[in-house]
Amino acid sequence: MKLVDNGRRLWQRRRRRWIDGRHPSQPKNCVGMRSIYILPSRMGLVFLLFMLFIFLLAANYQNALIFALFFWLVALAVLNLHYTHNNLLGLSLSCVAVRHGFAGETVAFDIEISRRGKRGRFALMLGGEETALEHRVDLAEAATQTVTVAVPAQRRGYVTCPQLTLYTLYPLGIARAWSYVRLSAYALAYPSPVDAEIVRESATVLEGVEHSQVSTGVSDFEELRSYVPGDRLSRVHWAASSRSSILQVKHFVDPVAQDEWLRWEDYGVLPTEARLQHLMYLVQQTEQQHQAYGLELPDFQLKPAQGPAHFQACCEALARYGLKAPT
Amino acid sequence: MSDLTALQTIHRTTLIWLIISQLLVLLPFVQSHSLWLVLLMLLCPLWRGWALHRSLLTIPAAAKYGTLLAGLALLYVSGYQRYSFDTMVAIVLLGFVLKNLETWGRRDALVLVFTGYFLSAVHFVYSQAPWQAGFTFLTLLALTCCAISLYRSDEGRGGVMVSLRPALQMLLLSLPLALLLFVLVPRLPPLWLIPQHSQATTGLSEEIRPGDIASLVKSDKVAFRVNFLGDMPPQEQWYWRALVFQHFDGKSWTLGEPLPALTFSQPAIEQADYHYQLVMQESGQQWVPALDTPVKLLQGKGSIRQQRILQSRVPINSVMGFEVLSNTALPQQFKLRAFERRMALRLPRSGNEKLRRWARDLYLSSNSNTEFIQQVLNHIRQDNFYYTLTPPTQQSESSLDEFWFEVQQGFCSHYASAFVFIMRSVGIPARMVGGYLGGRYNAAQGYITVRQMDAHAWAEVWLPEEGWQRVDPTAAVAPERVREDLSELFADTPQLLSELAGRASSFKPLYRLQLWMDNFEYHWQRWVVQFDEDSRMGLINRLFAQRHLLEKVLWIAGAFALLTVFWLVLLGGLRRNTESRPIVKVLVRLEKKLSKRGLTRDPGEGLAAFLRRAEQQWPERQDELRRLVGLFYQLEYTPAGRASAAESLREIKCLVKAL
Repeated sequence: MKLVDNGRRLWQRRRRRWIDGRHPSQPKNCVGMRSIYILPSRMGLVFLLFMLFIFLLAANYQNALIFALFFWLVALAVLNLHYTHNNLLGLSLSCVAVRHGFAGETVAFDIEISRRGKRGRFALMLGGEETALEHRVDLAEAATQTVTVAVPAQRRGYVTCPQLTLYTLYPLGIARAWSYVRLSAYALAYPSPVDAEIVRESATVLEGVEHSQVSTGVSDFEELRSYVPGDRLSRVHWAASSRSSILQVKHFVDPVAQDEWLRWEDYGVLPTEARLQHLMYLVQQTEQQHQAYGLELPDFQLKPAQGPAHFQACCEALARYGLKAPT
Repeated sequence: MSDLTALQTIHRTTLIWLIISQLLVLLPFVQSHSLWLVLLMLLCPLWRGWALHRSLLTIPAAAKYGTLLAGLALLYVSGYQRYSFDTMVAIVLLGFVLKNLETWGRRDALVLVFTGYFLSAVHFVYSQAPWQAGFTFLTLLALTCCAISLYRSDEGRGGVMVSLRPALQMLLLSLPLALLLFVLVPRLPPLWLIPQHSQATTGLSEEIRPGDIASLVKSDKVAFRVNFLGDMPPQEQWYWRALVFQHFDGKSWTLGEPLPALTFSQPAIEQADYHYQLVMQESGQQWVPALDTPVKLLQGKGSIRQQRILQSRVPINSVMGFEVLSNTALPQQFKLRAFERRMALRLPRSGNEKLRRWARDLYLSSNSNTEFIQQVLNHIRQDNFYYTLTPPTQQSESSLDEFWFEVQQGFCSHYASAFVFIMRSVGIPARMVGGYLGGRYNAAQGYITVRQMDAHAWAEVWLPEEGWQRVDPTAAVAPERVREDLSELFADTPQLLSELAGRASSFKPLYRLQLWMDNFEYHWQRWVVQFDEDSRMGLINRLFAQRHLLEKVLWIAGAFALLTVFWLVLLGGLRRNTESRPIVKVLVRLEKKLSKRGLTRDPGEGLAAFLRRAEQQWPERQDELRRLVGLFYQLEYTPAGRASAAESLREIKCLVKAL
């Protein structure tokens, strides 16, 4: 058994290498003559069996008309190869959009299939080993169609567009033509949000000032107060200061609750991935509470803000952390 | 990867095509299987149609198996009990229609289509007529439509015709290859003996009772067709000999002991008068009618027997062709061997005593055998003999006595058997010959059609100087004593028939149509149905006469290559895999030009960004490049630009050329 398994693994590895060599991943995949493979389908074998019956009938009765019918069906099957082959020929596939997702869930690639010329294409099936579903595409009237291929994201990080197989059985179902599609696109799998249920480390406690209900802000003017070293010169109210001996400083507050800074260093106890998952959890929570928040990772920082765009930027930053984009 | 699509149930359009093709597949079996059985089977696809209408899709398993058992019982009751071809066909048919009761996936439907192809082939076992071929083409078309529609999305009620176009296209485009294969691929001989389907024998039988031929004479079914290569004998000589009856038991004539095969010397073959091709219709028998003495069989499988008759090696169960040389001058050279003489004189010990006596008296009063024969014929002519197809039945032991002296009414086999009896009773070797007389000559196409109504029986007597001589006693009956309407008489007198036919043709378009159809059927049979291994080799030899093997191979390979190119061009497979829009072609040229200067466009880089990069590297061309970007965006993305597309395109082309 082990031998068989090893053999299979070896075969699969060689096949993989062979396909990778023949079909380098590209942003746009054109199905040309050299990238179409064709073999009889399972129903094609059944068809051959029926052809054998017809041949026996013709030979045993020495019936010229049955021979004629037999050869006609043989010719039809040969012509069918051309039709099936041409059903794929000249198609081009490209990834027009990606949909990111959390690790453990799915990410998706929007793949646009388009044909050239007037010839309609039918029953094109797009699927892959890693995709759950096969998609059917017909290009009868429309020249392009987009399908969304969902791929399960196992791990956080970059999810490259998997190798897909585009195949067709049209028109007679007795031959299966296929082509390998390798698109150089990737989606991001965000860390899955996990609450690590720990409090921040001491470094956070020191910054208690910022935890007060009213934090120093920039938007609303509240009062004038006397200058303390460290206040910005731009905030000095020169007109008011001239009337007194002490420099008067304009004091501003933000109406929002305090800015939340979600910092990488705050959770030093956690290993990298768990830390990212916890940060993800915090980002999600804070976003849901309509609070502004900033994200600070080693050599990356997002200023406190709020809203879907900011949320997504944070997610992407967390997903990318420490990884290099695939080429 | 699992083939999920196979489980998908088929849609309405496919179902409609399936029902149509099932009806087409079933209908021709009305000929070979009982009518009501086929009608009952037709109920299944019709039920499916009704279920489709009512959106009824599932039936319980018990009902399915119940129907299957009922179907098998029905077959048993209808008489399909033995292991025979008909029974096997009936069982396949049953499975074919009962598949309707199952909910189908795509795979089930394909199996049905393939079974349909197989059953279309079975059609040809039963009938090889041109109309059957046409019908089978329709069946193929419907089945192919069905397979194609399986992979098309449901186009709804109006969409039934959508798959017709590709199906027709595929069938017609595959025809040239089918023809090439038909001519080039060698045919295998039968692999094993197969149960023959019950082919009723038609035409003359190997045992003849005086009343037998009457039924044949009423049938206008074609027996065979002949065309002469070279000379044609005069019409009164068209006596097609098929069987020689040697043995008479008082009631019926039979062939007697089988005689060995005969081969002729080279001079006899070289001096043959007539060279002709016969296209035999299926008769279920082995004899092949021939003129006078067939000396050589040039094509077809068979042999020439001692009685100068031609015998096919296998029963003629489908249309078969033979090419024969006949020599009319040979009979004198034949010697009557002792055992042949014995057979040609043998009579039952007793019976028909009155006729024997009459013959002996007449023989004693005549001077020679020839004179005696003439006197017998004169007796028929002068006495009150009538020719009729419906004589009173004669059952007694001495039926010939009754015929000769009392009834005096009968047709060819009555006259021939009485005549042979008379000859034998006086010691002149004689025998009865069954075959056909005459035939209708199609002058335009140069062939003769012989029908069952031309069946005839006559006598042959042995005269020491002349050998076997043909005597037709029926021809001696006086014309005024022919008691049937004309058309029935014509069966025995072809000259009159053709005369009438000739007259009729001048004012009857129907006759012309009939002639035309007969003509078509003849060519169909000659060139298609009987195209066997011999004709295939013949055709190839004629095509490649005296050519070198290499030349042959090249010709054949060339034909296949030409066909492939034809397909590729027609199906668009040869078209280069490049963009066909002119603007894109120009941009490709532009990119090529810029790449010479070391600039390549990054994947995903817009044209504007790319050309901005180009400007930096090639500042002296800044104006042209900017103009190009402007024109391009105007052409592609503004309605005004699209309106003046031709001009913009021309300008873009000029600019690119100038760069």
